[in-house]
Amino acid sequence: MAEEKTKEENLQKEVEVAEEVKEPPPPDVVQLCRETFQKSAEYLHGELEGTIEDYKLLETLNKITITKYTDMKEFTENISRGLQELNEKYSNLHPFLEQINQIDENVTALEQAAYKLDNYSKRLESKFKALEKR
Amino acid sequence: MNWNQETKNRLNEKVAQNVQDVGSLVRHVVKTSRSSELLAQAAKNFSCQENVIHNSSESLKKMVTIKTQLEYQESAIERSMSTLSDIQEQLNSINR
Repeated sequence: MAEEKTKEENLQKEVEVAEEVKEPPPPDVVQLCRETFQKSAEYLHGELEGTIEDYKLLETLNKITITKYTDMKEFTENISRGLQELNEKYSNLHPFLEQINQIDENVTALEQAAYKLDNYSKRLESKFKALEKR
Repeated sequence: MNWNQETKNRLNEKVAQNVQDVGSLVRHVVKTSRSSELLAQAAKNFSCQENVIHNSSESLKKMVTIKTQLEYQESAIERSMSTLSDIQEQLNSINR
């Protein structure tokens, strides 16, 4: 095994390994290649531009809808808070409203009494006039 | 020299063909994904919802106005409640 390894090493030293001589490309070729790839990339980007614009449109629509829903959420919270306060105030006003009902009943009874009194006084007046004529 | 020119022409053709093939590939991918149809449909659905969202927003603004008016009326009622005791006393005195 060691002998084989030394034999391989000797062979590698004796055999010349041929390598391709690569000259650096001229700078104008490099520049042209760069331009070619750049323009190819722009061309491919143009092919995808339609889809990109569709996605941008959807993104804009989504953002606007988010704004509107946020505003609506604030309105709803405001309304909810206000209605809760109104409900509390209404429950506090309840005894007063019952008092108003009682006052209304009393006023109705008073009105009935006033009508009766008015009728009685009219009858009394007519009787008095009849007596006067006699 | 002719051979060089021919090689260059072939190289140009190959490069142009490759670029066109890549473009066709991209177009094919976009077309088969049907993304433009789906996205257009999504945009149409959005625009249909726009009217509903606008109406909801307007209704909520009206509700805010109504709530404010209710608050004003409630505060006016509270202010008027102070006279109730006087009215009750006067009625009691009349009833007597």
